Amino acid sequence: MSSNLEYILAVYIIAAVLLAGFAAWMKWRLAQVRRALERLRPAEDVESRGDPVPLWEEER
Amino acid sequence: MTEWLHKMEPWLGTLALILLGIGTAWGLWWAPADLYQGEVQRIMYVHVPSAWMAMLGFAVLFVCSILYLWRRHAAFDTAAHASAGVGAVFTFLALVSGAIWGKPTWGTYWTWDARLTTTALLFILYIGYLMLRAFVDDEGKRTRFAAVYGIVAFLDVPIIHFSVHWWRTLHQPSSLLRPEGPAIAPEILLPLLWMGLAFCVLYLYLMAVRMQLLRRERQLLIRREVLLHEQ
Repeated sequence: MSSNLEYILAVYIIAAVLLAGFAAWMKWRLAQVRRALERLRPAEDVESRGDPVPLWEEER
Repeated sequence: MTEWLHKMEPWLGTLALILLGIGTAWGLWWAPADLYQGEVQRIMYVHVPSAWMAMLGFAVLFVCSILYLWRRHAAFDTAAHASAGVGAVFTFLALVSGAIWGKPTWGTYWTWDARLTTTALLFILYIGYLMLRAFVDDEGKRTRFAAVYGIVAFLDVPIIHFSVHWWRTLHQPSSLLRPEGPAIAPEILLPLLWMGLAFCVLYLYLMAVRMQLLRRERQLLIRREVLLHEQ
């Protein structure tokens, strides 16, 4: 076990960092885009504090 | 489906974390070491599901590209685009974990074996898809070109699968999908399938987040354009 432990640990650490990092980066970017959208939103939409049209509806 | 993914996102994230936590403990401690490979075989609990997700990612990209060209529904294009990003990450992980496993097992990190080369090509195809989307400005052309690219490039996926049968490769042939049944002991097969399920849920979670992000980015772009026109 000891001779190959570094390889096993390396794979599990890389996997955890890569996948968690990718998810965290997307969440951070999503928050950034949401803030930018909030700034551009007309006043009446900001007051309602919600999406006037759900995302999936907007694409139809 | 889009609506379901959007609503289920927090649940998928939690479920993926629980499944991955149990699967990691199972793979690292509870599962026995392989008779021939020894302890290093535990890398397979990350490598194999990553490779499955790499191919699933392109299969989703392929199906959504066909559906987009057929129905011209923006949600299919968004799903294809999201799957490309998520699939590229899994392909990268499959390549890196395979290389690290290869060093103690084969004595080398890399060899120009058919399975390895076609998987590396898959990663390049994913990057090519994302670059194509990034470099074409016209939205109509971008979505159409990307969909056609996604359909044509999918050809690499069956080649990856059959590469171990068509060519003499260092990479072992399929151990699961065989007419004689799986060639893996249940003590190793069960945690592998568990991690496969965990990676599937993780793929769905990452897809949900990425689709949301891509839609919001599109919304932002449209709003900025509308504001520019109004000024």
